[in-house]
Amino acid sequence: MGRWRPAVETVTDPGCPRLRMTHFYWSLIVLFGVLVAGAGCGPEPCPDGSSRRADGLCYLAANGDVDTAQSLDADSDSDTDNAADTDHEPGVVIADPIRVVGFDGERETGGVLAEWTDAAILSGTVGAICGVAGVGLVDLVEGTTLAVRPTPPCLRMAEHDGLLVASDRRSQLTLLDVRNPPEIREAGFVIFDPNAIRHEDIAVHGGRIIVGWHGLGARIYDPDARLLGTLPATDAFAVGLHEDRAVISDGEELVLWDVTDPSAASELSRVPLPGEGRDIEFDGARVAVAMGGAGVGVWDVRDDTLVARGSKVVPGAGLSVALDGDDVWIGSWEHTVLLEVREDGIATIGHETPRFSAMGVAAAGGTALVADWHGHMTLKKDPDACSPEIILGEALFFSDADPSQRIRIENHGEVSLEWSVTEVGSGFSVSDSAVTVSPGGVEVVQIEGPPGHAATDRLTWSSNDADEPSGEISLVPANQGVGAAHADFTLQGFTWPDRDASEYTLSAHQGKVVVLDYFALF
Amino acid sequence: MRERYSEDDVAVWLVNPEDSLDEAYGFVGDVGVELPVLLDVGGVNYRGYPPDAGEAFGPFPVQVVIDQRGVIRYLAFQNDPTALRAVVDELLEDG
Repeated sequence: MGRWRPAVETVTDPGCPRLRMTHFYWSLIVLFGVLVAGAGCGPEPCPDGSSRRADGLCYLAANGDVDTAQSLDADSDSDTDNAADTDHEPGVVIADPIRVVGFDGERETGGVLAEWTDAAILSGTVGAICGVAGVGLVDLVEGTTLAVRPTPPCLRMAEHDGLLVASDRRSQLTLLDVRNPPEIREAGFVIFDPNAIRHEDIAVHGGRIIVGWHGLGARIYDPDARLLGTLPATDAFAVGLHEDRAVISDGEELVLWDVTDPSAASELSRVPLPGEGRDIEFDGARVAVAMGGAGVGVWDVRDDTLVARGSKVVPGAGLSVALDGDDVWIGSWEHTVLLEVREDGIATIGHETPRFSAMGVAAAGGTALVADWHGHMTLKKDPDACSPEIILGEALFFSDADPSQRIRIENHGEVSLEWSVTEVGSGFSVSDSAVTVSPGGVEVVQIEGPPGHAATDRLTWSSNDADEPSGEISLVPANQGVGAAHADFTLQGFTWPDRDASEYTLSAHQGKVVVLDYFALF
Repeated sequence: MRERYSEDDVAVWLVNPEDSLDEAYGFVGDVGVELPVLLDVGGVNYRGYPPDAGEAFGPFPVQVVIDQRGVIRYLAFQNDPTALRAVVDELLEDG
């Protein structure tokens, strides 16, 4: 994912700024808090047993939810802890530091589906998104769309120094000049070898472009489309480039290359990759890899060697990754997760729920831009965010053998969370229709499903979390495991190139083996 | 997959749980797949499977094999063509 490096490094405040306030102001704030809500957002609300770090985040002691660097070298199966389940272990920041600046977008843009899948940050105030609708520019201060250019459908995008490369999902790369937003100007294009099926990932740095081609390895070009060299790989799904170093995923390995002369590139370091390489971000000193079900892995580059820093499984599979100093942002189907690289590993410090799915993420200077399928979401790391932060699942699965389920409501914020059920499917009963969750706390509500529950139903809820004032949980009958009869269905379908819809009924195909292959468009 | 088996023995259906016919048609045309594409509107089928508890790529299976009597014999959370073919071969052998 593209990334802009700020000219001025983010300054980490050496001390808690609020502690420098005078006692008089403190008194006012505390009094105001007591009068208004019974709890303010001063230094006191850090939950019991935790303390406020220099950067303002509430922090529980040490050494809990931190994966060791060794976990990357060991069997990846051992690294199974789930960020959502372990955030209240010691060593974790429990005050969610993510503020939603804004979400903007429509299902369709300019008459075509938006389907934003990648993001880049161009400056402190402007970002870019890439999708079926083309390439768009985003105001990162307001979280709004500045412009959309209907280039060929875009799957992946990379940017450096105003040179933006957008891919068309097949074999063409379009170069765009975005130095004068909201202008998006075509600056040339690269057409690749017609033998190529498609490319998987691209990165741009220092006027050079690296492209991971399906089955052809990673190739490096100049902006005039001249091929400078090829890095052999069986599957270069994800690529990163910084000055004269390139990092590519090669099947189940991660490889660092010296590309000073791309026509005579040399391999410097090769390490096992615990999952598939879906996206790479490489800033010259550090590599972060989105690894699908294996989450995210981080390596430092020391003396031209890849040195493991740790890995972390994230809810909903790591799809895309962005590096911002010691902060690592991960986009997944379910969450945008903010992680922190520490001396002893990687820890989760915040989540935000995308409106649809965090397909692509880019970050710089504490701001993250998420390509959120039908729109884009701008997020800001803000230790002073004074809000409850609700985290809960989107689906529960009921069966006659297991009709009782738990709704786990977590509050990652600094203020009490008020959560209540607004509506629930008929036949379902909940143990509490309203709960209060203390800062950093968890409450569990039991929900009983009716016997013979056959169709998906839902529970809708409301909360005082400004980012998520309402939501719903799907109540799903889960009677379709291996060994069970598949529920009969009749679905509309077509067989290309015939566009006319016809009906497909499972029971009409008894006597045949039926293979269902689920897919989505991205 | 399609080339490997007779249509009389095996039906291979691509199922799209989230898009409209127009969207799915456009995509399938792009990649030129001539298999039936079914629209599982609202993901009703899709969400009926138990979620994966472990190391899955996604929370729901992506491939399902149903035997000649309508019983689910295989749920996969990752695309593993070798395992899928093995299950189908076994079912065809058993008749």
